[in-house]
Amino acid sequence: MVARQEELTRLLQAWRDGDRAALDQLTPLIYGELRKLARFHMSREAPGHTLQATALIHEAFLKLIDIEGVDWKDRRHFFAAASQIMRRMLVDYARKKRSIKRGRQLKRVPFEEAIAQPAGLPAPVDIIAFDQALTRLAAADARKAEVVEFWFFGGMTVEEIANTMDIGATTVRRDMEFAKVWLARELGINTHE
Amino acid sequence: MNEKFWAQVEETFFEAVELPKEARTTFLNQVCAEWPEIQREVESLLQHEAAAKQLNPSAVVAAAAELFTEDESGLIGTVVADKYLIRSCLGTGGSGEVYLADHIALDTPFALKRPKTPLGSDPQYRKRFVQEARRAVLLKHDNVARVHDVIDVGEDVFIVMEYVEGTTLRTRLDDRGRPFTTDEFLPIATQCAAALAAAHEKHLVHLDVKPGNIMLTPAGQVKVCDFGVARRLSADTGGDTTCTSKADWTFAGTPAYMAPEVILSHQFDERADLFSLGTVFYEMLTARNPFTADTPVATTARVVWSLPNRHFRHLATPPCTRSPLLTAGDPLQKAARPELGTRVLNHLLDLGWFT
Repeated sequence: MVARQEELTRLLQAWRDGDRAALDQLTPLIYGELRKLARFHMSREAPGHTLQATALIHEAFLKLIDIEGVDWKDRRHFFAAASQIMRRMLVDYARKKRSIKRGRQLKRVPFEEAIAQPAGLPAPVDIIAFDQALTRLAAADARKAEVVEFWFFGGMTVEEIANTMDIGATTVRRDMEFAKVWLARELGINTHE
Repeated sequence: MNEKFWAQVEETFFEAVELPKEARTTFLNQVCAEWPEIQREVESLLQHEAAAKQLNPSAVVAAAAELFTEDESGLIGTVVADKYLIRSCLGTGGSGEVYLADHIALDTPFALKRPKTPLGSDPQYRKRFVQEARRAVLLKHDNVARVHDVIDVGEDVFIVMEYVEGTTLRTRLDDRGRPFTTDEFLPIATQCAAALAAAHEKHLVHLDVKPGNIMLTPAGQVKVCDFGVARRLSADTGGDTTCTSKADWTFAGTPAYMAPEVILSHQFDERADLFSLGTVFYEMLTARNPFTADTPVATTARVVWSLPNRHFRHLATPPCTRSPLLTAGDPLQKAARPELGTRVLNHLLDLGWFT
């Protein structure tokens, strides 16, 4: 465990210092822990025990990283790493799932028909489409995309995002509002109003 | 998309969104008179104002929950062979995954096992595997989790089994942490022996009898699971060990219940199951496996060299462990091992427990 913590800390620091490849090595290390936590949270069926992205990602990291021993000059790197790893992991996983080829006798039925959603959770978003839309948003407006990444994948609040990104809370809220509408349009989400 | 366009769209959007809905068109017509592209973009965004409310982090969390909790294989929500709708994963282990599935027409739950076997790599192996599993369909007994069907679809083979609610003997043993009393032991032991007797009568060898494959229902019934999916199946063809034996070992898990002849050779028969069952009985009566060592290799060595833990050699035997039935699990008395589950069953019945 100690060796793993040291390895994680080293990789996170390497990633902070600009080593993109470090994230590739980090992901599988975090992944197992994250899945275990997700299972644990989902197994508590009592109402109110809904899965929180914040809890998930932070627990996963805090369990694995000796935060006291880390020289985090600013929290931004930690949160950015957490958000990006969460996003990447979900996308990779969703891709893998989608690409599993099945025999002709297997066919997909809508998820809603197959399984009732656990109480308190809304309909899941299509992670792959969401990721692609977010990448397009980043091309048009990098700041908004970063806000969304922190917000959706890092489970951070407006204040946390504002502090981390060193921008005003009003700007964060505005970015959120605009990005949400833009993403809803890109994802083709419609209502029957 | 250039920055200026984007900035104007954003600004115009926020101005429009402040206005009541009916005033927006007039406003946009005014300010965008010379910029029809901006007007179109803002109007299209405004149409998604309500839809955007559905988009929040919990939608990602819901997706994460779906991905991370159980659907590792991508099978949840799929229909197998037009008949079985896979609902959830009941468990994953060394030998494969087990899913809870509903037979759509019958509205009845079944357990679908997808064995982790090198099926793709060797068509002959695959054929034998499916054949062997299909033989298990013939086995019908109250104490055997029934195999209903074997489905061969593209890349996967699914074994359709009776869905048994309850706990495994493994869980029961771990939870107790102390030996079973004779009264607790006998009903379970008898039913296990009866299951094996029925299988052996049809010349079906289980080869993976262990507490994890013995289900106990809340009503006290025993169901021995996984007949027909025994892992050592590949070994019986000989000459094949280089390509399959390594895979076998990786999903064989603990050898603590395997008969020495199964470990050492390809020559084995029904008696191998009785060795395993005897070992399970030992564990039930002593709360310890006689062979388990620190590593699988060390455990294997103990089984092979007939070296049960010293602890067991001078065991203060409870009355029923003196019965010949337990010699089934005693490697020191291989020759005396009863040959058939029926014999074990009779011993148990002789001890005074009648169903």
